[in-house]
Amino acid sequence: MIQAVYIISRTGLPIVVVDKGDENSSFSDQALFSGIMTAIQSAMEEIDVGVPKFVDTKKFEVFIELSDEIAVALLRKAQIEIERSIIHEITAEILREISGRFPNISDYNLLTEEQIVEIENFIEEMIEKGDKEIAQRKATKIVSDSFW
Amino acid sequence: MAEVPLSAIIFETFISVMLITVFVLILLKYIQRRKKPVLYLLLTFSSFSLASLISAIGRWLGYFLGNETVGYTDLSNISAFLLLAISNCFVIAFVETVFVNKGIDFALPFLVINGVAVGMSIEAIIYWFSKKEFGLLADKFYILVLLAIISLVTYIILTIYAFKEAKLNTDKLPRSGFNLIATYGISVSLLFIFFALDSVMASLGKGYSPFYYLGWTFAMIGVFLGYLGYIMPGWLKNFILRKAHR
Repeated sequence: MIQAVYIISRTGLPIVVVDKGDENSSFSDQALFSGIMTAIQSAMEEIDVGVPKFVDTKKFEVFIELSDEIAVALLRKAQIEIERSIIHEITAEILREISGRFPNISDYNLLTEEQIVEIENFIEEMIEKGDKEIAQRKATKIVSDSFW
Repeated sequence: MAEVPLSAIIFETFISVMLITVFVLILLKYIQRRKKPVLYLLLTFSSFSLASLISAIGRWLGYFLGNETVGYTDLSNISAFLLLAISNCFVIAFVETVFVNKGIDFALPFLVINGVAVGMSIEAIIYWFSKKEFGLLADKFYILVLLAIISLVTYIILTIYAFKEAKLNTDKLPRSGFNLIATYGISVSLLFIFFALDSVMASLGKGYSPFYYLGWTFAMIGVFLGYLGYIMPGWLKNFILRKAHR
């Protein structure tokens, strides 16, 4: 299940956060997470090993897509049957759409309240789409492993 | 109609052999893979083939020993209903495990309704031992109606999910497999529709109508499609893959 989607400025500040697992997550938690993600990216870039697109922890998997202006980080609970390619596709689609529709997003002070709601609604749709696709392709995997 | 036509015996015996063959193939698959969906399918086909076998035995007994004073076909039909209701529970368990993943919340209503059908069938079987003359099935017509409705809903759900999954797949192999499973669901749904129609004809004194034979014909088609869709023999896999690479 997709837990949360973070739109993060390249300076490390959260611009929009949709958290399905914890509706009451505080701004400081979100800021801390965004900061850590950005710090990891910067450190990796600095030592020239490339920007991470995927971070795996004991509890979560974090999928990251970057543009020059923003980063999209998608969190999902770690599972055995990982459908990483689908999640990468979803994360990339969020980044593409958000960057195209909201060119001012990197400076989140320029976003109107309506735009933030629009982004949140779009992310909610994408979370639903991602969960649906994972569930559906899971059926193919189950039947293939069991029978074919 | 108390008399049993020979054609009915031939049809039911043939379908029983087909079902038992597919059951054995699924059993071999289960021994190889030990997966939950295969177990549910194995239990589905074991109940289904046992239902068909008991129904065929009832026809044989009715044909050779007479079916008027002791209604063998009544007993065998009601016993088959009981087993078909049990088989429906395993179909639902299969659908839940593979497609729905919502646990008992999804399965519970189906389990309860099939449980009611099982209870009604047991009551009818007990009643048969106190009154063995032919005619019990006509009195207990409502069991078949309930069973036909719940089976129809069950197999339509399987069909819809399988078609949806087939549509989502771009790979030829799973796409064909799910399409075959969906058409298996359609065939079994038609089997129940035609059996219900034949029961209506039987209540008018015209049992073993064309609906009865149509029902069994769809059962045969369904079992064959089920074999292709679930077991997917090597020759079919090669055929699909060859076609995909063309």
